[in-house]
Amino acid sequence: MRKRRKKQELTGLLFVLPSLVGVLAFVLAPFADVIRRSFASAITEEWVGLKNYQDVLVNNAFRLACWNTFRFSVICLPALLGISLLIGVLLQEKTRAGEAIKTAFLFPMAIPVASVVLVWRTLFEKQGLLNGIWNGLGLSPVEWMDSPTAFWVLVGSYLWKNLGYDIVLWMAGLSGISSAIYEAARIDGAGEWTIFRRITLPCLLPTLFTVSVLSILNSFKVFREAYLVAGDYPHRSMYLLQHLFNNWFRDLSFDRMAAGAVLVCLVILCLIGIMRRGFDKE
Amino acid sequence: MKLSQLITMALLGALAVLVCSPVAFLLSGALMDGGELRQHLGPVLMDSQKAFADWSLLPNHPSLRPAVELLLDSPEFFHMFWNSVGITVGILAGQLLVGAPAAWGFARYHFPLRGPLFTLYLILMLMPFQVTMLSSFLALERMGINDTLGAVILPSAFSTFPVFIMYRFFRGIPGPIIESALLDAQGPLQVFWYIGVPLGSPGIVSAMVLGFLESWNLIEQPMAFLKNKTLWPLSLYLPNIGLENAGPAFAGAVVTLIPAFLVFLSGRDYLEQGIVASAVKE
Amino acid sequence: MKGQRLRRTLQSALALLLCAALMFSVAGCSQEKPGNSNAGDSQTGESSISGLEETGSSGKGYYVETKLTMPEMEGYVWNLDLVDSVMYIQGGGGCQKSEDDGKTWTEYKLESPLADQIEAEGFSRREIIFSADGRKIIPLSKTVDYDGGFYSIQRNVVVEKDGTERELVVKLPVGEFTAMPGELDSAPAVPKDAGDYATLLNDLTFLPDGSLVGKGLSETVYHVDMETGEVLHTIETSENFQYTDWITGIATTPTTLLLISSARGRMIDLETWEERTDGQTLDEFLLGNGEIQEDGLVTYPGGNEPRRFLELFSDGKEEAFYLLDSNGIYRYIPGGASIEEIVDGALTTFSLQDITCQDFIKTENNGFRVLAATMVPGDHTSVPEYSILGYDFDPNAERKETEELKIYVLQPANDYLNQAAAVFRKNQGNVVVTIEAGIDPDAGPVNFSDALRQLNTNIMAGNGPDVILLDMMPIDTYRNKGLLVDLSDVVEQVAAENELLRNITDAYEKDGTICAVPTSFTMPIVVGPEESLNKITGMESLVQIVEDLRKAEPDIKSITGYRMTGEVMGSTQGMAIPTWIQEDGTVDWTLVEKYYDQVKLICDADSNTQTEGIRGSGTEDDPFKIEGYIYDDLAIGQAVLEKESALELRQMRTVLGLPSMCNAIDKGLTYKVLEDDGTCGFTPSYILGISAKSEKIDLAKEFVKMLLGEEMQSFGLKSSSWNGSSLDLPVNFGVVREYFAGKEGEAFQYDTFVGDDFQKVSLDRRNPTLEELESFLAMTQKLNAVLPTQDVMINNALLPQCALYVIGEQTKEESLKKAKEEIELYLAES
Repeated sequence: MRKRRKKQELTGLLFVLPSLVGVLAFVLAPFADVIRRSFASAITEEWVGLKNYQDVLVNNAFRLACWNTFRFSVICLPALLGISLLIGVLLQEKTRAGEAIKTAFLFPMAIPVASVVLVWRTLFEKQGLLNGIWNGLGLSPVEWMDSPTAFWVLVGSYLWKNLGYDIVLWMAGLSGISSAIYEAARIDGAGEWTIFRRITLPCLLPTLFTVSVLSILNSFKVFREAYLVAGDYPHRSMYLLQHLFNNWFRDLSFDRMAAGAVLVCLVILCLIGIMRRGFDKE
Repeated sequence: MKLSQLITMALLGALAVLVCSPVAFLLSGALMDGGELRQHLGPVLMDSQKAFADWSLLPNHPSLRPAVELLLDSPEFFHMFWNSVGITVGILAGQLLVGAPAAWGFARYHFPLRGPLFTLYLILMLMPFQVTMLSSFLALERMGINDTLGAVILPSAFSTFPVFIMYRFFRGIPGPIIESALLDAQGPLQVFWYIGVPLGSPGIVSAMVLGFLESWNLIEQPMAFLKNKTLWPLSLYLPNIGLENAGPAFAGAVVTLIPAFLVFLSGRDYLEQGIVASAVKE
Repeated sequence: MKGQRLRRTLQSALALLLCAALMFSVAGCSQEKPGNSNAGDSQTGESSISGLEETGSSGKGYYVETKLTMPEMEGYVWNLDLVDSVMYIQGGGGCQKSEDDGKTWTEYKLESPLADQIEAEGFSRREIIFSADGRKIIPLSKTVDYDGGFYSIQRNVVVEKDGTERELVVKLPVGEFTAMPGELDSAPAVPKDAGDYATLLNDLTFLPDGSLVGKGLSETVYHVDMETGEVLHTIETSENFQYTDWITGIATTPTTLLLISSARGRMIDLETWEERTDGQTLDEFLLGNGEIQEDGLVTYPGGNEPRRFLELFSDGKEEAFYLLDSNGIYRYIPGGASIEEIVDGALTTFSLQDITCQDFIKTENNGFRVLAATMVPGDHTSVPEYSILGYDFDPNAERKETEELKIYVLQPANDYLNQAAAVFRKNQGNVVVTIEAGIDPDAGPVNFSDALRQLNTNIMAGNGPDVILLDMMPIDTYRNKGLLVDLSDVVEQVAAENELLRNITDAYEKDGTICAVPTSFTMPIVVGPEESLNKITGMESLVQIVEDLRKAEPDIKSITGYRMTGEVMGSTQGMAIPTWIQEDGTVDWTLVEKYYDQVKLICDADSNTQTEGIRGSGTEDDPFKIEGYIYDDLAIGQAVLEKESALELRQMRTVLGLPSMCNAIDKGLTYKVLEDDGTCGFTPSYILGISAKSEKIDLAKEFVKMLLGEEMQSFGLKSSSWNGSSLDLPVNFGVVREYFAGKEGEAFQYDTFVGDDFQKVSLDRRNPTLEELESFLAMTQKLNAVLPTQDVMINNALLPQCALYVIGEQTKEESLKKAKEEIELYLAES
C-alpha cells in the first residue's frame, strides 16, 4: 500500500516537474531576487535590513497608490461580481436574445489594449466625444481624465471589459444547479429571494472563488490602459501601485520597489488564504 | 413572455449595444479615409482647438485605403504581425506542454507540499509585472536570451495561470472513470492522455483561449525585454497615434482584433461546457 | 448542434484569416528594402593581392598616418596627382610639385605658348591633366553671353612628351553647349558663333589606350579620340535623370571605366563599351543604408548619410579601384564580391567631423597620400586649411587592443558629440567610442520615461554606459542612489591648467563630491537702454518696467522681444525657480503662483492688443510679431537697435554674440544678467556624469577631461553660423579669451540675410575689449543656482501649465492645481 502511495506521489511530482522547473527559473527566481533586493540598497546592493520597508511605509506616494488600489478593488470587485451575477441570473432563460446579448458582452474582452486606448482618447479627452455630447446637452465639458472622475473612468473600463466573462462563468455555474432542487424548494413554498439566498448562492461558492481570483487578476491589468492613456503621472485618483513601481523603476529606486512588492505580495497572500478558507471547499 | 421579462431583455439589450459600441467605433473608423478621420478626430489628436470630436457610425466616404495601405504597403506591420503570431504560438505551445501535465498532477495526485506549491502558484500568478521586471531582465540576461523572442515567450510559457484554469477542470472529472482506467492497467501517462485530456479538454481550451488573449495583448514584456524593434509584436504598434497615423491605427486595431475575436468565439462553448462540468461534479 | 456548426465555421474562418495573412505578408515582404548593408561595414573577405596589406586581426601591422608638408598655396586646392613618382598639387593658386614624396615642394609652371595664346583670347586655364605616359592637357574655358543666356566653351591644348603642342578640338553634340544635366536632347539651340569648340568637358581622364574620357554639362560621358577629337562613344544618363546620375568621379583600370555617383557605380567594359552588370557590390556599398525613392532621390534614415565625401582613384595599371570616404580607404576589384577595407578610418584624421578630403593617390609602395581640408562648420565662404596626410603600412606597428567607451545621450548625437568621439578616438589610438541614443526618432515610440527605464535595466545588467550625458535627467536622484562617480578630481586637474568657471562646473557639488559636471551653460540676460536696465532688479521690477515701457511706446512691436510664453519663462525662470523647491523637497506654492502672475503680466503687457489668442504663434492669421534678429543668437541687441523691440530678454547661448552686443553698447545700449535678490539661476547643458558601474572609470575620466579642455570647448566657436545644436557658453573661459585674442576691440562687418525674401544686410560688429571680456566674466560669476527644471520631469510639471494660463486656456487655479498634482506625485515618490 505504501509502495503504491509512494509511486503515486512520484508520478504526481513528475507531472508537475517540467512546469516547476520553468516556474523556478523564470518566475520564482526573479521573485526571490526581488525579495533579496527589498533588503538591499538599490545600486550598490549592500544589506540594509528593514530600511527599505520603513521608507516605503512612510512614503506618501506609496500610501496614495495603496489607497487607490484598495479603493479600486473594494469598489470594482463586488460591483463586477454583483452586476455580472445579476445579469447572469436574468439571462438564465435560454432565449435567442439572451444568447446574443451574452455574446455581445463578451466582445470587449477580445479588443486589444491599444485599441481600447484609442477609444478612451476619443471619448474622454477634453475635446473628445463625450464632452461633445455634453456640450450638445448644454452642460459644460468635464475633465474626464484630469479630475477625480478619472477613477470612475477606470472603474467603468474595468467593468466594461470583464462583465462578459464573469457573466458566462456565473451562468455556467448556475446551470449546474439541478432544477430538481429548485422545484423542491418552490413546492415547499419558498420565495424567490429565499431560494436565491439559500440555494443558489451556496451552490455558487466554488464558482465564486474562480471568478474572484480571475477578477482580481484582471484588475491589475487595468494599469495598461491607464498607462497608455495618461502616462507616468495620471490624475491622483488613478494613481495605482503599478504606476508607482513603474516610476520607482525609472528613478532607480529598485530597493523601494522590491520592498513595496513584497508587501503587496503579503497582502495578496492573506487575501488568497481567506478566500480559500471561505469559498474553496476542497 | 411576461412584460417584466420583456423590459428586462430590452434594458439588457440596450446595455449590450452600449458595450459593443467601441467595436463598432473601431470598425467604422477602419473604413474611413485619412481626411474623414482628421475631420472627426482632429480636436482630440491635435491639442487646443475649440471644437469637439465627433463621429458618424457610417463613414461618409467609405474607403479601404488605410486598410490596404496597412496590409500591403507596410512591411513593418507584417513583421510585427508575425512576431505576434510567433510569440503567441510559442507561449501557447509552452503552456500546453508544461502546464497541462502540471495541472493534472495537482488535480489528481497527492504528493508532499502539494498544497503550499499550489498556493505558491496562485500568488505568482497574481504578481504584477513591474515588480519582477528588473529581476526578470537580469535573469534573462544571464541566460543570454534577452532581446530575442524567447525572452518574451519563455516566462509566459511557464505562467501559472493556465495551470490554475486547467486544474479546476481536471478536478471535475469523476473519480470512478479514472479508477476504472487505472484498473485496466493503464499507465499514468496513458490515463492522462486518453482520459484526462479529452475529458478536461474544455479546461484546456479555455486556458488556451485566455492564454491567447493574454499573449496577443502583451505590452509590458516586449517593451521591457525587446530592445530590437524588429522583434516587436503587434500590440506595441498601435499605442502611438498621431494624426498621420489615425487611418492605419484603426485598420491595425481591427486587424489585431479579428484573430482574437475568432479564437474567443470558437472557444467560448468549450469554456461554458467545462464550467458546467466542474459545477456538476460538486 | 448549431453550436458545433458555428464553432466549425469560426474555426475555418480563423484558418482562412491566417492564410490570407500569409499571402499578404509574402506580398509585403517582397517590398522590403533591398540590401541593407551599412557603408561603414567593410568586408575583409578576399586575400590581399601582392603588396597590399590588410589591416588584419592579427594585431600587428596597420597603416600609420603621417603628415606631409603642405606647400603654401593661395586659394582653394583641388587636385593631387602622381606621375612618374612626382607628386603634383594643383589649385586656384597654381601648381606645385614634389619629387621627394612631399617633403619639399617647388612651383611647377607648364610653359605653353599655345595656351598663352588662347588665354589672350579671354580663356582661362583650368587644372593640368596628367597622363601616365607623360602627356598633359591644359583645358581652357570661357563663358560667352548670348541672347538666350550664356554658354561655356573650352579649348584643349595637348602638350606631348617631347614638348610639342597642339590643340585638340573635340566635337561634342550640339546640345552640350547649353544643356542641363540630363536634358541633352532638349537643350536650347546652339548659337551660330559657337564654332566647333567643345563645351566644358570635365573630369578629363586618360584611358589606358591613350584616348580621353570626359563629362559634359549634361552629365553625359564622352569617349574622345586623342588624335582627331572625334567622339567615339557616348555614355548617356538614364532616361529620367535621377539624383544617382550625378557623376562624382571617373576612373579607369585596364579593362573597365568606372563612373561613380553617390549611390551607384556604373562600370563600362572598355572593349565592348557595354555597361557591366556585375557591380552590385559596389552599388550596395555606395548606397549604404540609403533608400532610392521613386523619383530617384536617395534618402537616409534619420537623415544620416553614411559618408561626408567620396573620392575615387585608380592608376590605370592595376585592375582595382580605390575609394576614399569618411570611414576609410577601400579597394574594389571590378565585378568583385566584396569591398576591402585597406585603411581603417577610425584611426585617421580624415574621419574627424570637420575634415573633408579633396583628392588622393596611391603611391607605388602601396601607400596613400590624401589631400585634406579642415572645414569650418557652416562656413562656406572662407578658404579651408589644407594638409596632406600620408598612410603607409608598417608591419611592425602594434595595434593596441581596442577598448570601447560607451556614451549615453537621450537624443541622437549631434556634430559636437560625434567630433568629441572622433577626437578622443584619435588621441587614444585604440579606443572606440560608441554613442548610444536613448530616444531614436526612427525606431518607434520611445519616450523619455521608457528611455530611462531601458537605461536603468542596462546599467543594472552590466552593459550600461560609461559616460552619461545627464541633460534632462534627474541628477539628484542619481546622486542619491550612488550611480554617479565623484568627478572633483577631474575638475581640479583641468582647473589647474585652464580658466574654468567653477561656479558652473561645481554646480552639482554636494558634501565635497561633484557627481555631475556641466560643460556648458546659458545665461539669462536683458538688453536695452541703461536707464531701463538700471531699474530692473528682479521679477517685480521687470514686470513694472515692461508695463511702463508698453505705456510709453504703445506701437512698438514688442517690449521683451519674445512672442511666446515659453521664452519669457526661459529667460526669467532663473530669477524665480531656484527658490521654489525647498531643502526638504516640498514646493512653495505661493512663490509659484507669484511667478505665474508675473509672467502673465509681462506677456499681457508685451502683446500688442490687436492680436488675440496665442500671441504671434506663426500661423497665417497670427504671424510672428518680430522677425529675424531676436532669434539670432549672433544678433544680440539688434532688435532693440532696429526699434523692433524695446528690450531683449534672452538666453545667451554663445560668445559669438558678444560682437553684436558690443556694437549695441557703442550705440547706447547695455546688458546685464537677470537676477532677483541674489537668486541667479542658469541652465546647464552637456552635463557629464560617469556611471559607478562602469569598468572603465579612468578612461571615462579622460573623456570628461577632454571635453573640458580647450579643443572641445572651442568647438562652438569655430562656426561663424552657429546653429544651436552644439555647445552653449563654454565653461572653459580660456577659449573665450583665446578666440578674441589679438582682435579685442576690432570692428568688422557681419553679412547676413534677413526676412522672408532673404535680403542681404551688412551689420556693424565690434569685438569686445579686454575690459568688456572681464565684465562678461563677472556676469557669469553671478550665476549661482542651477535650475531644477533641468530635470525634464519637473520642467514639464511646472512650466507648461503656466503657459496655458498665460494664453488664457486655463484659469490660474486650474493651472496651479494641475502643476501641483503632477509634481507632488513626482516628489512624493522620491
